[in-house]
Amino acid sequence: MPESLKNITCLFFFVALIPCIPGCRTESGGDLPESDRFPRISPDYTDISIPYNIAPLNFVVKEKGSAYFVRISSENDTAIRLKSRKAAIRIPQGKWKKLLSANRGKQLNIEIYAKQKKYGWIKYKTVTNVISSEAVDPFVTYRLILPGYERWSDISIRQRDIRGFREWPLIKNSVADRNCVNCHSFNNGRTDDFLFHMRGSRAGTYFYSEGKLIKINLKTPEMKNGPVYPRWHPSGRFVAFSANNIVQQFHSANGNKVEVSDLESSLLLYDTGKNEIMPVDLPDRGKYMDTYPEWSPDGRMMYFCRTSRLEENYDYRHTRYDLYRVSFDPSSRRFGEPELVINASEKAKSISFPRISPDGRFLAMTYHDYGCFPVWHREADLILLNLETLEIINPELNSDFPESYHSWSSNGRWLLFASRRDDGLATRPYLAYVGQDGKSGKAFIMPRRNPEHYNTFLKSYNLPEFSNLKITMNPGRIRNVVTSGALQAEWGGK
Amino acid sequence: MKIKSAKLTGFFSVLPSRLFFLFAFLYFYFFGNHVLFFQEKTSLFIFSFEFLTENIKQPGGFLVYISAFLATFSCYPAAGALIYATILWMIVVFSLEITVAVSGSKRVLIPYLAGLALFYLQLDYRYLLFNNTGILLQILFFWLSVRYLKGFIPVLLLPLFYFLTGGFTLIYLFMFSAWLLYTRPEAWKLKMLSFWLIILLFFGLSKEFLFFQSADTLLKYPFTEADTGSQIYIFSAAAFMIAFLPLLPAFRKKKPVRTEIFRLPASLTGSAILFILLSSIAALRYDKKTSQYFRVESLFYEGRYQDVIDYNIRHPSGNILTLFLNNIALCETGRLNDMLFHFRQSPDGGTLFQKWDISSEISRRGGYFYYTIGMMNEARRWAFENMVTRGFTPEGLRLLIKADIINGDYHTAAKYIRILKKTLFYRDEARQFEKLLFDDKAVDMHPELGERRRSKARTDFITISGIPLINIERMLATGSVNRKAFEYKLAWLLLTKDHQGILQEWDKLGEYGFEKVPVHMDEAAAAVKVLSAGQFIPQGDFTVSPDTELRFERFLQTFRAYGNNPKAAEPALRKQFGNTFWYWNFYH
Repeated sequence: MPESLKNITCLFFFVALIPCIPGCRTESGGDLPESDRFPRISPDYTDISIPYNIAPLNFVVKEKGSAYFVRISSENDTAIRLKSRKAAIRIPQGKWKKLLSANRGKQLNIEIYAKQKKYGWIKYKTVTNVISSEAVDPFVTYRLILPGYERWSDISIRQRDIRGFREWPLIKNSVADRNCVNCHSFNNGRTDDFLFHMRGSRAGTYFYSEGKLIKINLKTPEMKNGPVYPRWHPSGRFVAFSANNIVQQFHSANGNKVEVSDLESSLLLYDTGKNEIMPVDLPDRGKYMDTYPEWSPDGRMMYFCRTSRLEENYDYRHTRYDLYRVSFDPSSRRFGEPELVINASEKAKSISFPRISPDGRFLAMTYHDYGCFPVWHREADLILLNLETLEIINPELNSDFPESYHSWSSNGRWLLFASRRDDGLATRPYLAYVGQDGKSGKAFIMPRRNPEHYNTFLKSYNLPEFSNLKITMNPGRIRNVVTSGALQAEWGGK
Repeated sequence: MKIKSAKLTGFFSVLPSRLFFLFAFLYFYFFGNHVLFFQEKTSLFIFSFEFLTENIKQPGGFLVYISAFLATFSCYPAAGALIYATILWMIVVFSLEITVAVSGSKRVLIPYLAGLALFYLQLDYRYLLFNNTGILLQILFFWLSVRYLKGFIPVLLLPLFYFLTGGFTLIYLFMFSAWLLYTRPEAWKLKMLSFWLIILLFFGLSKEFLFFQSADTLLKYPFTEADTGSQIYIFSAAAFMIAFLPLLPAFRKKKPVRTEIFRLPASLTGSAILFILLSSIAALRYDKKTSQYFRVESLFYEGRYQDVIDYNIRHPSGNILTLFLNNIALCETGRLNDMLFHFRQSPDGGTLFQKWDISSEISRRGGYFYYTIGMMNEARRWAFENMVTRGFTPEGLRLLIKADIINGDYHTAAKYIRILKKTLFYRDEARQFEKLLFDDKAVDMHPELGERRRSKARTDFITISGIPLINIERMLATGSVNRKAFEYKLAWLLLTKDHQGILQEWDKLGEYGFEKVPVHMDEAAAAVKVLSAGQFIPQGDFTVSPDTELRFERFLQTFRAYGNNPKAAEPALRKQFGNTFWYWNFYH
């Protein structure tokens, strides 16, 4: 054999043997030492149920290693294999979507390997999740605001397509003289109606419908306080508001740094067809503070939170709200007699933010020690009320930090809520599966393209809401409406 | 001889610009470093993608971004002085180059006048760096446009340039239009038309579809009158001079350029005139009080409380914020009520506490009072609200981190630490903080944070932002043995001449760890004892000092020597007893 050919042959075998040399691989293979524990990953996407149409759950492997290998698989379709020298794992969207779609109702396995100096490649216990066959609403709308006290600077209401990572602003307050934008609300999340408030020099309530944005001044001279917390009637014709006189106070030493209280509140009904706003005429309403209206899916019942009117030397720690409901006749716009649903104050507890699932079976609410603004209360948890059996369910999705601002998906299977569990300060959007029996799975954080995003992002995801409605508003249109005069609502009360 | 002459000529020709640079550098380094200090402390450059995207989300954002980057080097006065001087120098040099490019010869008057005006403006600490950086970029882009960017390239690049420099682009727009009108290069009409069409179109698109900003902001940002230090007229004059440069050829020189004045090279004479003008501006604009205030603030941030006090003794100040910081320094060194009246004080307590006011400079500093007396939630609130309204600052982040660590809010502290780690000059400190996270023992042993954790307010109450004294009262009423809060209470009683109140606190001195009676408290007690003919009997372990009683007797004798006439006695009493409670009591 000629010398040159010999050399070439040797070289060929040498090259062919290279993969067999241990330690030279960037992905694992063969029999490897296995850890007896699960890998630590951040965010915590372990042991959860996820919708089949969710964006990739990118994560960071919190295990030491010089390289990582991840294999994501299910029963059907090809597994996703990822190699990375960095701990941040970003899953390709297309492959992820394909895998999940092909495996609805099946288990999702995430195998994580880390290459360590001492031991070489280590395989951790396989993380298993469930791919639910229930879809989640594609859009989530939230307000981004620094979790501060009284001041604000940049505030925006944004929408995110949670099937991917696209996020866009609906409105930024920089287009409106840095007024405060707040209290965005969808009509049942499914139709074409959306509203938000603006507070400041461009104050008003802005209604978006069929691509049009209009500015309405809902406060009339007869009203002492302006409308605040909105809830659309399922028909889309009415919007219930509470009118509140809100004060903020600050704790000197309490971990709950901010205390928000109502000094006064009452319920209002706005008729969008007639542009009329009127009080919700309940018996003895002067004796009570009513707030947080919520409609039943058939629009025949309004739920709300109620406490006695404050006395002069009130103690905010003893102000507790119960859950009430009252019948409503849309044709006559009349309300019936309020009835007590949950007597929380009797148990030295308070209720806020009642939210009924679209199928009318469950009512989710925030349950806390006192007051009506639980997002700063560490003990605040979500509970579910079975409206058929009136059984209270304590879902698994809670943490040691405040949970609040919850929103049901249109199929009633997913609950989206804001939680401070990350750092105790900024609220983050969490999702959890809720079964037919009202029991929930473990909550998981809304995925981001950059899995380390939440580590440095200071702003709160305030009032996250599901919707099927995609909204895009260009700055020019918003600016025109914001700087124009407002349509004045008429007083429809006595 | 010819070579030597050429070298000399070359030297003299660049002498004025080099003199300008050197003077500016030396001034900022020796006299104007308070300008650098302020601008470095009121912004923070973070090396992260999020910070970049957050800043470039609107036209002009990039200008603010790079200015923040440049300002960050002011952490080192030499570096900061170099940057500020270089920017000014480049404005002058490239303005000169423009005069050459448009007229064929160097025309020195306008460039140096503009440079002097901008130097004058920069000496005001409120005149932010992006103003001069913005002007420099206009000059550079114009110079490139006329020298190197051929054809329609400047026109096509205009939208990008507008996005980068925002409202400052108006200067370039004027310059380029004027140049087109005057020089009428090839296809100048088309260039002019497309130039304005493209910018108007881009502005319209920005307004309607791209940016959520008001039209006014899109037109002007980042320029604001406030950020010029309210020096809008001089700024406008300087900007006008710059914008006017392309039209210089219209004013042809009638006489040949003089190469000699007073038998000296013109550039040498010009340099002398320049030096005189620079010196005059520097002398006129040097603000000693402001400089001294920022020196105090600098020492304060470094925790050099004794140096703060010593500096204020050497340079007495009437500035409320200086005295506020000085009182904190006195409290931190346990001498608030020994030396309170060694410094000027405000009878309404304004030098002791700052009322909540987010709109002014108070918001940047008010939290330190609460940090000192152990109300960490309130200290944090001030720092946070300032961050919300004014953005990240190094000291704001430090205070947030410290308050959160002391409170045991490690997750939140970790967030701020991560941000601070992404800065150039604070990352080491951030790493030190990081070592304390989730380690209560390490925090407890930390010389500063441990002590504050032990003495912080533990019993909760609702704070009253508008009346800080109430917070102190509430804190002490909950049984908190917080000596610093108690010192402030005493100081307030002394300021308000509340003799009864002062004496009521006498028997608590031991409880708060005092080993001797604070000097001014002793003075107050001595006065009461002497004037009540000994009827005041101090309770507790402490007695009125006989020496203090004797001193008070001398005070009274001096007063009587002037026929009990307060006005007549004032000079003598001020000289001998000006730093006592007695003098304060009589004359405030």
